[in-house]
Amino acid sequence: MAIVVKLDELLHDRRMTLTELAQRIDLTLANLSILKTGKARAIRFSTLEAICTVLGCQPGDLLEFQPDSAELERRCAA
Amino acid sequence: MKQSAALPMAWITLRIMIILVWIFFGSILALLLFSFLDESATSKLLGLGGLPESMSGIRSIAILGVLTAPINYAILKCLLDMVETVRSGDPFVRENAYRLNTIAWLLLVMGVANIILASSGKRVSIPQHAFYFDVTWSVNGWLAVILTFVLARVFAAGAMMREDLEGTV
Repeated sequence: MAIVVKLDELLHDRRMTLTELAQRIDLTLANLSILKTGKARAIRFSTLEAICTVLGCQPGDLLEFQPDSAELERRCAA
Repeated sequence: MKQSAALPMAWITLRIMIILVWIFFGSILALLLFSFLDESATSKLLGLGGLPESMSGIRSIAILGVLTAPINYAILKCLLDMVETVRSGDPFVRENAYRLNTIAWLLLVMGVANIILASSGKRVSIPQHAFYFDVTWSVNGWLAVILTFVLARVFAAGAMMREDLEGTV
């Protein structure tokens, strides 16, 4: 997927574990793992708000758009 | 969620219908084979009065019956598998959309077979015969085909929404 979740980096910068974040934002560890590993199909605004509040960051710090090679080729051809 | 009595009833009914389909298949196949072994006895048994043109017509209908039995089985098996998914509490899966689509196509085939059967029946039997075919063309069958195709699309959309929901954090 072209959207990359940078939760790992944010947690590392803030010396926080995934379990601790899960407890603070009242989300299951399993769901947070899905988000961290990039397997999530969608993220709720409420989840995004909770993560940004706890980690003191902007949504843009958490998510990044990286077009995959097929998408890049398609854009170049157009 | 409270379990409905309709599901166990549907499961049992479908199981019984599958057994009946195979009994029907075996009986028709036996009749067809017997008609080649002893034509006069078969004709007498069916009350055809020894008319050779009736026997060939009956054979063509029997062949059609033998061919449609596996289709009936496939429809019932798909329905049974769907009932199983409802019982397990997870009916909005892609497999059920594929199953409904398969059922719709098979119902379409059955509709065509029904037309052939109706025309063959009219050709070989008259009301005075003991073996009288009265298969008529029904609009309900074709409505069922359309309905099943639409339901297949509904299930496909439902399965997609379910997958999205499961992947939402």
